[in-house]
Amino acid sequence: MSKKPVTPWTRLLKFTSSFGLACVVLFLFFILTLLGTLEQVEHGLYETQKRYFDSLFVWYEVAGMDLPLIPGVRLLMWVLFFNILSAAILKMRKGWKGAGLLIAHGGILLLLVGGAIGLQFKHYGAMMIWEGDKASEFESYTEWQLDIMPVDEEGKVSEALVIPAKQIDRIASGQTRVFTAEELPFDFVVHGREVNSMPIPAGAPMAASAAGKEIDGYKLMSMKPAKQAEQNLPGMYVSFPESGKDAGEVEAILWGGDVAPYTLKRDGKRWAVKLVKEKWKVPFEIKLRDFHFEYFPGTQRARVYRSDVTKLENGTERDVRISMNQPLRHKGYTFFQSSFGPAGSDDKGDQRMYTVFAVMQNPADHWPLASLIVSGVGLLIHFLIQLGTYLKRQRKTQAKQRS
Amino acid sequence: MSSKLLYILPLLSLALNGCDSASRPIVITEKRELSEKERQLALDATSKERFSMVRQMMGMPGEEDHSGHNHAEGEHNHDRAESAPLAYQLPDGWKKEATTQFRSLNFSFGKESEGQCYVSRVGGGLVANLNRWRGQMGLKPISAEEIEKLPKRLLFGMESTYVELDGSFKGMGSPEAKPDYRMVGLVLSMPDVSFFVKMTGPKALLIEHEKNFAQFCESLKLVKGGSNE
Repeated sequence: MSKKPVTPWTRLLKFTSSFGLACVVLFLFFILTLLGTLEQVEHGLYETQKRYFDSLFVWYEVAGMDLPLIPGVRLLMWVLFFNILSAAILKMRKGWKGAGLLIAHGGILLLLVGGAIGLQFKHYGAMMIWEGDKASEFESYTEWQLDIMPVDEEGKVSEALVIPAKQIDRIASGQTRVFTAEELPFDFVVHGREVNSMPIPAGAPMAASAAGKEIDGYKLMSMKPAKQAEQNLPGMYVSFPESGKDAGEVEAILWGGDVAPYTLKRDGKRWAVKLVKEKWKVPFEIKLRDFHFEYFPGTQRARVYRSDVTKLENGTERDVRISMNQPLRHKGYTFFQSSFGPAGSDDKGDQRMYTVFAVMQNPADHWPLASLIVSGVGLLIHFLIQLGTYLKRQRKTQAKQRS
Repeated sequence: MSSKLLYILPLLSLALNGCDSASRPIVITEKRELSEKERQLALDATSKERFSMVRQMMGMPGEEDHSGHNHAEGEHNHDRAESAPLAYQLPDGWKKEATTQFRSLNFSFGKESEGQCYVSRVGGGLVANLNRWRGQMGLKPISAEEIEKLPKRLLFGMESTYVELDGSFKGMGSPEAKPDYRMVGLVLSMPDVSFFVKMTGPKALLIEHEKNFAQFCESLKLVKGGSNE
């Protein structure tokens, strides 16, 4: 009898669905977690997460070249996903007796897919509200976007063209990127982006070492990225050449810490340009009615703090208390009590306070829980099937012995 | 499902992930409506006005605020006059002391708190300040060229001059000099003001706390605004 030919696809499938591959992937997860834990001491959590956990590969400099020496967690998650999926399709016991294990594996796949969805679509940031005010958007702790705002004849702004954080993030130091829009009579050119920077007066001694051009008495100085990425203030040199023309000389410095936008005049019209933290709208409003906190006696450490808010949505109002262990969850958004200010306030309740909520939006927020339940049910079914099979076999053996 | 699809999908994903449009102009398609607070913009601001926070963070002389932006209630909640907010990690064995007119942060260490480290902002240039320190250590002044050759380290992410002086230390108001002392300092010099971290104490004690000083300087950060985290 002739044997079925082993094609390259068959070999690849065998490898992809192998238990050995799963073991290697899990071992690499362990290694990456160890390396990431050690690295975050020096470089901070955010940069380490980007380098080891959000990437396809972890890059290392070897002999002056950047090489992808280890797969990143993102790539490993894909490998594990296809490993489990192909094993379930090819190797799992077909028929009702394999149902339990199939369901359990389905639970793990659900977890991995949830992770991928979270990675792609999750938003995490902060919302600050003063007592008596309301808010309906929150901003990222670490990501920055660029707003280009047309100024109307009355000198007012109402909307912005947005260069999103994802595109800003891709611009390296010294790299030029050109942005265009139908509404703009000019191109917007970024001449390199610094992750952390400060505009230095051109007369300062250290300005001599700043590579950039002097603009209006300032030079943009590149600084070492902060360990806590929230403290980084990005900066960039920009120019606004006529659409389709050369990038031209730099005309302005944009900086994350500036208190006012750069105002550009073109063809009798004004445009305000500003780097701002990435923002997301929430489909309802939160109004802070009252903020309350207490210090531990004799200390400046908060013992308790809470925000009494009103959720406003479609003409309806609902009063809610948000405190340290009681977040507000609504429509996929979770509001955690994070901090408050102004700094140095006393706890007598006679000053106007503001509250800061940490806001999380993750469409796959409950998927880990669902995955746990599905896997648990699958394993329970598998256990019951195995138990039933065992008991049946025991009865047969006993019957045989009696007869 | 065709097993070949199992491989095409991830390859497609990798390819899309790796795609980069660096060479082509990128079309801006996203728009957003500004909130009420965001609509209160100070237009036509000069670079000095736009970067006023740099001056505040450095404790440099401020300017009248013509921006029309309400700083009293808003995101810039720090004291603009003297105490630019600083974040830092307190080294082991260091004790926080009360701040003074000239010391934004003040620490002591050692059995009898004989070691001191503080952060300060003063006027005057780099040369004047370093030679003043040399005078405190009973050393002769040096020239600007010699100061230029001193080693550099980072303070607030910016290149700063590092000094290490051994001698007999006579601080302000002290009746007599204390022998066998060391002074270590890191000076960030700006046009109108110098920002420095200075450590003094018995030489042996300072050698023990050398690493603490380096770690403290590295951890020192200027922070925007102030809130209780």
